[in-house]
Amino acid sequence: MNIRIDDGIKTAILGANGAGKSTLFYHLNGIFKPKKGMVLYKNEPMVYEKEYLRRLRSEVSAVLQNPDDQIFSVTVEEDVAFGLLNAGMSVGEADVRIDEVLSAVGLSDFRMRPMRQLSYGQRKRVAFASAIATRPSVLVLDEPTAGLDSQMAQEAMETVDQMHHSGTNIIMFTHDVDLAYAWADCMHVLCGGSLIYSGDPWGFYSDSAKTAVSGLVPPTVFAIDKSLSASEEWSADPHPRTAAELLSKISGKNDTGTLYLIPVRSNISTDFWEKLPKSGVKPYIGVFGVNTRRIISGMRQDCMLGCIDSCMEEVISGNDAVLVYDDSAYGIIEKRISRIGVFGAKIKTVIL
Amino acid sequence: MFTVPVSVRHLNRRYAGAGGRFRYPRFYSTRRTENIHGVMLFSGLSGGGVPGSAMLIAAAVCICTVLCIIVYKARSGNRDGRGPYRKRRGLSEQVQMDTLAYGSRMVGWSPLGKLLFILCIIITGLLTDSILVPICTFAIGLTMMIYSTNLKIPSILALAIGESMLIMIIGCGMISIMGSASEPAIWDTDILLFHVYITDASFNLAWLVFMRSAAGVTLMLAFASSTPIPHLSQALGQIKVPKEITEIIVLVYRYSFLLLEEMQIMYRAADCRMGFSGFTKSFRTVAGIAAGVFSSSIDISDRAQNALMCRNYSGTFPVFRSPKKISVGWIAAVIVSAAILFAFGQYSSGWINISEVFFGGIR
Repeated sequence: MNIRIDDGIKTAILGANGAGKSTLFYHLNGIFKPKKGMVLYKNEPMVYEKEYLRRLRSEVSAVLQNPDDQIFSVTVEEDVAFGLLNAGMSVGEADVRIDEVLSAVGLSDFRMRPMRQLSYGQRKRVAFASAIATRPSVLVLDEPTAGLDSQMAQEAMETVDQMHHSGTNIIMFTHDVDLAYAWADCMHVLCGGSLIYSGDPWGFYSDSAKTAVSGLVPPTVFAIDKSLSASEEWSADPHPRTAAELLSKISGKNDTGTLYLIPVRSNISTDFWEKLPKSGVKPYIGVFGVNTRRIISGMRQDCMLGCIDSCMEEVISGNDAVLVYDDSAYGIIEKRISRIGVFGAKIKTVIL
Repeated sequence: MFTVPVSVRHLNRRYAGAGGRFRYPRFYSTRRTENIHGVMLFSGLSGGGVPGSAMLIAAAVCICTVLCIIVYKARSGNRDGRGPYRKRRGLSEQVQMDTLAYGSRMVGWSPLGKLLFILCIIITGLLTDSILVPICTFAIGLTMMIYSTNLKIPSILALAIGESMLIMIIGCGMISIMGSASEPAIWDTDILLFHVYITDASFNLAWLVFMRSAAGVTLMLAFASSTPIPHLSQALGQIKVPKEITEIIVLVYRYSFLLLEEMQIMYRAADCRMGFSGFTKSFRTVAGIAAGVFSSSIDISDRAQNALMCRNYSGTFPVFRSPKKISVGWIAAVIVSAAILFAFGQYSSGWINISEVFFGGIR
C-alpha cells in the first residue's frame, strides 16, 4: 500500500468492512507502528518517541467512530480540556479554547453538563470539539456521520466543511459512498488491506469492475447520471456530485428562482423575518453553519428549515429560497453556487 | 501531507467450642462462652458471642438476597417494563450519580476536608461506648446527605441504602440473638434452626453496632453524593496516594458504568431470545451475561487505550477545575468536632440502656 494525502484536499478513504480502514486510521497519528515500511508526515518519517508523538497527536487529531470511546471526563468542559491539558496547555489558555470550540460546534450552553446527559449526536459534537481544540492541522474522522440521523449528519458535515474552509485538512474514513462522492475531492479505496484506487471520485465508479471488487456500490447521483449518459443527447461530463448539481444538469435552464442570502455574524436582528421577500408564496428557508443553526433553533419558527442543497434544488426548480448562513462560511456557499453554474443553471443571488 | 507505505477475598473459621468441627446453629447453646473476634473487630467492643457458622449463614442469606434482587430485577424488567428498561426512559446510573454530585450544594467544599471530617467522626464514634455518639454522627450524616442531595436520591443510591440497611439489620439481629450464656437472658426461645438468647449486653451491642453502621452509611453517602470522582482522585492525590491508584479509581469508575451499559444491552438481547423464560434459564442467562461482560471488558479496554493515546494521555487524568484544597478552617472544624463528640461520648456513657427501653424491667 502506498497512499499520498495532499494538503488542502478533502480526502475520503473508502472501503468495505474489513478492508483495513481502521488499521490505516491508527497509523496516521502514530497509534500503530507499521511492521514494514514507514509513515511520512510532512515528508519526514514518523518517529515513535514520546515527545514526537505528543506533538504529532496535537497536530493530527482523530475523531473516532463511537464518541463514547474517546470521551473520558464527566463534564463537557473537562472532556474538551483533557487533550489540551495533556498537551501541556495552561488552565487559563484551555478555558479560552474551550469557549471557542464549543461555540464552533454549537454547544456553548452545554459546557457544564455531564457528558452522559447528552444525546449521541451531541456527544459526537463534543468529540469533534475535543479534536479541534488543539487546533490541529489535520483532522482524521472515522465515520463522522455513523449513527446520526440525517439532520445531525447534515450538521456534522457542515461543521467539517467549515473546518476545512478555515484551513484544517480533513481526512474522512467512511463506507458511506454517497457522502464520500458528494464531499471528497480525492478518494482512496481500500480492499483486503490493499489500496486499489486513488483519484477523483467519479473515476473510481466509472470502473465497474473495480467498484464490484471493492464491495462498494455506486452512489445514487452517479448511478442516475450514468444511466442518463447512456442516451446520445446526454453528455457524461461534467459529473454532478450532489442532487442539486444533477438537477441543474437535467434542467439545464438559465431562468432559476432567486436565492436570497442572509449572512449572520453573531446574532440575528429582530427584523430578520421582515427581511424576507414579500411574495404570495412563503419562500423556502435553508440554514448553513453551526452558529446560525444555534441561533435559529432558539427562535420561533413556523416553517421547515432546509439545508444549502435543498435551497439550491428549490431555486433550480424555479422557486425562490432564502439561505441564512454563518458569515464566515460565505466562501463555501459561493463555491457551491458556482459549481451549480457549471451544470447549466445560473442561480440569481441577492444578499439581504 | 501523509505518505503511508505500509504492508499492512476469611471469616474467622474457628467454630468456637466445636474443636474446629462444623456445628449447626442448633448447638450454639453448648458453646456460647466462646467469642468470635472477627465480630468484635466489627463492633469495636468486647463481649457478645457469635459463632462463625452463624456468620456464614448470615453472609449466605445476604448474598442470596442480593442475587435474588438482581435476578428479580432482570426478570421484572422483562415482564413489566421496569428494571433495565426503565433506564432508557430516564437516566443511566452514571448520569444519576454525576448529576447528583455536580448538582450537590456541597460540591464546592474541599473534598479532602469532607473526607477527613467524615473519617474522623466515624472513628470517634468507634472510640466511645456511648450509643449517643453514633446517634449524633448518624444525625450529622443524615443532615449532610439531605443538604447535599436536597432529598433527590437517585434509584441506585436508594438501592444501595436499602441493601446496606438489610445487611445491617440481619447482622445486628444475629448479634442480638446470640448473647453470652454466662449472662441472664432477656428472652430465650427457639425459632426454626436458631436458638434465640437475647441478653442485655448482646441487645445493647447490636444497637450500638447498628447505629455505628447507619452513621457510617449516611456519612459516606453524604460524601459520595457531593464529590465527583475526579475531585476524589484529586483529594487522594493531595494526601500523596500513589497516582497509579488514583488513576485506577477514575478508570474503574468510568469503565464500570460502560460495562454496566453493555450488560443492560445483553439483558435485552437475551430477553429477545427468551433467555429469562424460567428460573433455571434465567440463572444460566445471567451466567452467560457475566462471561460476555468479561470478554467485552477486554475489547473496551483495547479501544479505550487507543482513544487515550489519540488524546495524548500520559498516565495522569488532568483535572480542569481543581477542587478546593483543605484549609486550616477545615482542620480546625475536624479537630473540634472530633473532640466534642469524644468528650460527649465519655460523659454520656451509660445514659441510655436500649434493652430497658424495649424490654422494661425484664432481667
